Amino acid sequence: MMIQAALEWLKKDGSGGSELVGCDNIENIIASLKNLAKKYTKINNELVDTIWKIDLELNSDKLKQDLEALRKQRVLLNQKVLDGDYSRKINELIALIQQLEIQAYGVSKVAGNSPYRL
Amino acid sequence: MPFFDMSAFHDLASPGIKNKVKCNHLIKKGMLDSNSKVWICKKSDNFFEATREILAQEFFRVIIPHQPETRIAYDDKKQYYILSEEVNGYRALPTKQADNFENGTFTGLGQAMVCSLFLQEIDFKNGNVGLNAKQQVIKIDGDWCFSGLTDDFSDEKYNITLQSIEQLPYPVDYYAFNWLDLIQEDVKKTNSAIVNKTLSQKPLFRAEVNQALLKICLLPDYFIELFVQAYMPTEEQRFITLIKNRRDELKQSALKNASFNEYLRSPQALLDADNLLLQMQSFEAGGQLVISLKQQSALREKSLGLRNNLLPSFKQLIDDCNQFIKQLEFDISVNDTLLKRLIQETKDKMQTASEKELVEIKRNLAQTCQYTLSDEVVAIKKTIQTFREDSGFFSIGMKTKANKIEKALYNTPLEARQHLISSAKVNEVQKTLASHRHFFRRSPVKSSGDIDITQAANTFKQLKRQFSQQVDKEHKPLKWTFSFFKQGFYDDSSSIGMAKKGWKWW
Repeated sequence: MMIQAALEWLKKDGSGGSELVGCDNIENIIASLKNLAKKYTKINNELVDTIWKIDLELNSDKLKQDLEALRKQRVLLNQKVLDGDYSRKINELIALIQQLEIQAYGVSKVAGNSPYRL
Repeated sequence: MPFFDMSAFHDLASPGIKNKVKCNHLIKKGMLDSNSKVWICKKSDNFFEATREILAQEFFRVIIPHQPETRIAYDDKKQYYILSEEVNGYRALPTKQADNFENGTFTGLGQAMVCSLFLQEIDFKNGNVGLNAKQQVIKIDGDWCFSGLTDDFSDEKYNITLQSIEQLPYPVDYYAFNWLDLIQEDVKKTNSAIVNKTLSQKPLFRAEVNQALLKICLLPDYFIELFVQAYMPTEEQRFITLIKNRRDELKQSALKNASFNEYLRSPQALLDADNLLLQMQSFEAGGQLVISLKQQSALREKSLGLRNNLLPSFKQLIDDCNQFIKQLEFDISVNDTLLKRLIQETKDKMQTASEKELVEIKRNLAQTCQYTLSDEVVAIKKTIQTFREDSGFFSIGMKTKANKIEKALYNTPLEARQHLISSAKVNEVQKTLASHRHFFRRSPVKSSGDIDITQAANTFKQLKRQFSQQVDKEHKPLKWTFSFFKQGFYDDSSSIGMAKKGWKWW
């Protein structure tokens, strides 16, 4: 069931997974899911980094760029974050990875209380 | 650092610790024998991780004195525990009260963030940072500090750049796994419910950031070494090097920040620097002073040295003093022990001087320059040099006379050197200058100690004439001089005595 859900994720994203259909190598599936979560995280963080910079610029005393242009850019980037729905996707992927790891190895560091590496 | 035996820890019958934050470790509350504090006890995975966490938490306490104390304990199975002093009224940072960080209701977020940045804390999540009953921000659970030294997170960037300082509370140029609600499990969020986007510009927050930056800049190597050694029985060198390097990196970036530079010129910076010194001097690791009583003066000297080089008011005074010292040291004779001693003592004093004392030192140095670099002293030195240079096989006693003048000059107290030639009161330098090199010439020094100008050596006469004229021009009113001119020769005042020979005064 979980493997099926994982494969669905990979197919949906188009970043691979079709070759894993029918594959029971759970390690490969987990690795692919982790790569997908990392990809979403990277996209999200790059967008948010730029939004933070704009926010700081907008609130700065020394405003360098055109205020209106900055506001428009922020709205655009914010929409990209919302459209990408990265936070939800990453959360679901992490939950799935955790379940698969527990199933495969009995334990998972993912989504625990401490910082972890995908 | 003394390690506490867990047998000295007594559980308090409490309903348990309620914390909204998820926690991996068993937590209990209790007290230690012979200690009135209540401690929160947390199991640690291993000894190294325990000491690393303690080091980080105690570092917070050096910079932020109201941080809770932490200690290490062990049981008979060699299981290690971290004991943290209970924080009265501890609660997670509230959401939707962001204005309170800007209006002074909640204080200390700036300091906590700078320390976290400095210590490579990657788990700065709400709950690991919270408020005490006095609404002061408290940082707990430092087990993910020094992340650059962990296997999993050693490849991340933990830079302390100008941007990372300017843009706090946003973590920029710096990796964090959790950072308030701005980064949650590695995922960055566009908005925070805890802090406003405008916080980085707010004066109170900037003041907190500046204070923590200053305190870290002012940590002497000496303290860092003893501090780390107090907590880390092994692998201490890695941590010492890391802390020193990050302090230097932080200082470089902080000095590029306009707000920090402005703060350095304020009286508050001086107060904060003094408070840090007191904190370091009285800092205890497990109830024992980190800096022993014997080491206190060395710490003070090094700490004030750093302060004097960083705070502009001190820096200017120190630079001014050093300029005077440079002038005094230029062409100083090896035989001038009085001046050499004064310079050394002054340099020592400057190390620990307060601003007021530095002003006094500067004034004294200026006066000493006036005394010892006066035209008269320069002329005497030139005379000594001429005697030495002209000394040869056929010149009798020139070297000896030069040595005698030099000895008399350097035996003269510094404050008496300025007018050695023009002084009306006969002194040893005048006597040696007036004396003849040839033993068969009559001594110009009378039995009364006065100098008979008519019998004095030409060198003395020339110098006397040169400087009497100057003194006369500079200080004596015309009328006064004229009356003395009319009176003629005075043997106790050689300068005036020269009038007998008809020398003109002006």
